[in-house]
Amino acid sequence: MKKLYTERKWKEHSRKRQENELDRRRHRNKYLGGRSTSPVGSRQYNRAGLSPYQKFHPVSAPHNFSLVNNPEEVIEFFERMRATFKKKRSVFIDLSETTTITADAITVLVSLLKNDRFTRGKDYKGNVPNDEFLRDKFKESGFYNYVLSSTRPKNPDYGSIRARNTIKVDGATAQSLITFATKKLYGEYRKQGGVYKVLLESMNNTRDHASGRGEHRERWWAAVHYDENAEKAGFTFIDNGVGIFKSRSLNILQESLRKLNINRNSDLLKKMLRGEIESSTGIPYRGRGLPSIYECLQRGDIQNLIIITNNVYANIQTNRVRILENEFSGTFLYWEISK
Amino acid sequence: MTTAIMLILSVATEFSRTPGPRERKDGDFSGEQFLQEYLVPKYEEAKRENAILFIDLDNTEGYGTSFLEESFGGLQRLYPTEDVLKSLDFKSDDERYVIDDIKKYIKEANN
Repeated sequence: MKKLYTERKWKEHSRKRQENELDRRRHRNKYLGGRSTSPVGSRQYNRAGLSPYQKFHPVSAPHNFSLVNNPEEVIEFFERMRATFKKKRSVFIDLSETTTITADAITVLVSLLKNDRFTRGKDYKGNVPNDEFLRDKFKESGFYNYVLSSTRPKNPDYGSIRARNTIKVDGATAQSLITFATKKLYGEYRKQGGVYKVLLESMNNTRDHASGRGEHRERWWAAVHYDENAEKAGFTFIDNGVGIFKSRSLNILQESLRKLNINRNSDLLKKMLRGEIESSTGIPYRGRGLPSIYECLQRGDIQNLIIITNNVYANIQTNRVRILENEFSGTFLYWEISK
Repeated sequence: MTTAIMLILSVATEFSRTPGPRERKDGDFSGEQFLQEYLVPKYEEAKRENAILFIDLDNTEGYGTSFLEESFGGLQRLYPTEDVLKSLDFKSDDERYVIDDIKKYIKEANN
């Protein structure tokens, strides 16, 4: 038997058989054009680069999917996603049972899904709310400008999520969000110097502080959503950095502040907003970012300012600050303008 | 009768409608760029001609505090022995508080 397989005649036969097999496969692949022969959902999978056999672990969103109104459950949902990705598992994001969905939560979701440090390079997919109104709202938010889908609306009408690939401070993005909001509110563009200031200060803060001890720079996301019924526009700004209280420069400052009995982050945030804390750079003419945002609120340029960072949820308008059970990784700001 | 000469610098038409961050490395249309390329040359020209430099702040999208501080506080820091405010005048009908902020930044520039 062994002698047969070593003979030249057999080897020649085997080589020709392999070449013929390779030709047949190449011809078959060329004919299929990348299409799968799998019967169920194959186009969708192939377009997204996913295998129909890949296992996705479901993570269900809370019924009230609003970071502004339901921070604890929404943060906990994001953390469950993070933990699943961390276990090197693909995630199925289940939005089917949501009864409330707001643009701020959608914006944070997009920012996380586009962050490789969050997804760890693993795949994800999901569904949309069962409720028809919510489903339309979700589709029109601008979500699908950033996330691949087989059902993508052409022009989101009520929302405008803007992300920048740059880590820089970008006035043009701020301008486009303000233009969108004021055209919806007033039917024409109107200057909103306060909103522009808040956006720029937020971008500055992300650039200067969000990366913590790391060398990389954090990306920021900004979005605006128009609520036709309430006649107001809501702005969301998010970075997925270390958060205000874990920035390297602030850690140095906090050691000194503890000696002054300022131990809680909630107290620290209040003082920072009122400009009672010197810049962590030590340069006296710096550090005016957060106080200037607070001044915009006091002047009435913006309303309903909410800041969520690390373990703090602060409604600056009502002066209510609370400590969160689930920490938020990053810095989130939300505010509104209305007629 | 004396006539004051006035040089005009319009941020919106001569520099940008979207003033940006503090420093050039942080983004476009920075305070640093405005100071070096527009404000200092005009200020020097105003001094040579014994004129007032009139700065029109209107018709932009707005201003970040860092931009204003770097521009005008920076101007004072470049000329620490001069009172730059005496050579400047401002117009800001869109946001009147911006003028007060600028004056504060100039006064606190050398602290």
